[in-house]
Amino acid sequence: MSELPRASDSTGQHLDGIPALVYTAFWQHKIDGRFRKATKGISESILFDFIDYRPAALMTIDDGDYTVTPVADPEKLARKPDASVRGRMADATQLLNGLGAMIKALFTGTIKLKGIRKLYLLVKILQTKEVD
Amino acid sequence: MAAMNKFERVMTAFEHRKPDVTPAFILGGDFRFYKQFMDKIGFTPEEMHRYAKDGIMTGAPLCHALSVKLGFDCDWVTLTAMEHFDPETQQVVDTFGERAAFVVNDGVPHLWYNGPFLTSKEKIKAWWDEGRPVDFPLMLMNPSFKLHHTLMSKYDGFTVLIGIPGVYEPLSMGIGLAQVAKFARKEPDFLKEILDRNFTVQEKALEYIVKHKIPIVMCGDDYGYNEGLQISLAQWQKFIKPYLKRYVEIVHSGGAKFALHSCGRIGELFPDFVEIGIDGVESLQPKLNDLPALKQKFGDKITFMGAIDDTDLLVNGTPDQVRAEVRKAVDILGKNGGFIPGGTNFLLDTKIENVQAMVEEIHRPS
Repeated sequence: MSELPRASDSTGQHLDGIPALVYTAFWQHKIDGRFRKATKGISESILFDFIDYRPAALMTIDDGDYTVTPVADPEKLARKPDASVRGRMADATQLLNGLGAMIKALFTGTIKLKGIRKLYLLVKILQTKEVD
Repeated sequence: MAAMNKFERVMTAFEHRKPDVTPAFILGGDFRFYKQFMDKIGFTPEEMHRYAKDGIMTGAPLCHALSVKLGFDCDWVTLTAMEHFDPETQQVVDTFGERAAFVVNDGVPHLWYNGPFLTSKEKIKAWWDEGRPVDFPLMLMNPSFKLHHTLMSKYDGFTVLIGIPGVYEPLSMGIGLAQVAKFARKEPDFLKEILDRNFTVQEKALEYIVKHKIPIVMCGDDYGYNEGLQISLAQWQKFIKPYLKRYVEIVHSGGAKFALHSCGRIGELFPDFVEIGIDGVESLQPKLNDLPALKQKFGDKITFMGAIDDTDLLVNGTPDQVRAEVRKAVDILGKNGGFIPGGTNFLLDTKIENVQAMVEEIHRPS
């Protein structure tokens, strides 16, 4: 059905930490065609940066596909991402423990979101029910 | 014999009676197997829509939709413990001290256990001082219960066995095997204290599962290497068995069956399994255990699950070879019921056509 998905933009380099988590979160949608359906014709970049647990992950969505690239110093990115999720890893880890913890982190500002409308694309991808 | 639905078939096997056809079990399919499945078989748009509407996960490694599509009768979910982040070492650690990380090195993600975090007595005590271990995130269990009931009611009685990690794995993976061995010999009371503290949260999670009317609880606890037990039988009986017995008692108190997933050569534990009332044992690697002998001795008390070799046969064999081995296993281990065959572990690089052949042969009436 699809070629083996790329682990990063160009080199197929090893990913771990936050870049691997981001890559993994959308992997099944990439494989089953839902990602393609939800992002056809869309290009945007989203930075996931947990400042005490770098590298950050730059997710680049481009017309039905995505890549994830590790970013050692997000301040030096040549192009500002369209949206971002920032926080500390202890708070991000809490997100794994349920919706209540996630809502608390967002409301108390320990996890900061920028470009909410762009970020909504991620929700749209995860909620897509039909394959392309 | 009247046709049974999947649940009736599974429960009949657990009650050591003959079902209409032998039920098939899948422990799970990891990312690589899922990739292969999607490439060669996949889901239709209609199926994707139906699964999504019913809230059934279609992705690895908890892919119940894959289990249903491949024709299995039952599969498994193990609920994960609370995760913490240690800012000093920059590591994500579960509440029992197990380090794990996602890695992607060939385009297919994997979740790897990275080793024990609680590598000294001081670290263990500091961990306790932080109020750990803490309860399982019980609210995260609710979707699994809902999933079980949806699959049961809308997918011909498809049954999800639900559990938590067992007694030994969180211990050995949290503090490391070397410390387990050291404390067992030199500081047994301290080892028991660790187990006691772990059990306080395990007990609550089991009670929560039982409260939600899950008919079969299966907990994973690998006791074996290829050559034998990871700790001595005497140590297992002294340290692990009492807590495992409590697991079984809690599950039975809710009217459910208790199954255990345990890899490796574990035959010498079967008398203890029978003594503490375990209803089913899963994995049962045929190259490591004398399964016909175990069936003869314990087959009327314990339901055998798994037992189809996934280290060689399902990976390297042909569909015809798989059918022949499955038939042999069903004839011997399924005699008088009490057998739910399947691959002996998570499917990884297993050939999909072999898995299809396995399920077809399991379901073929004797």
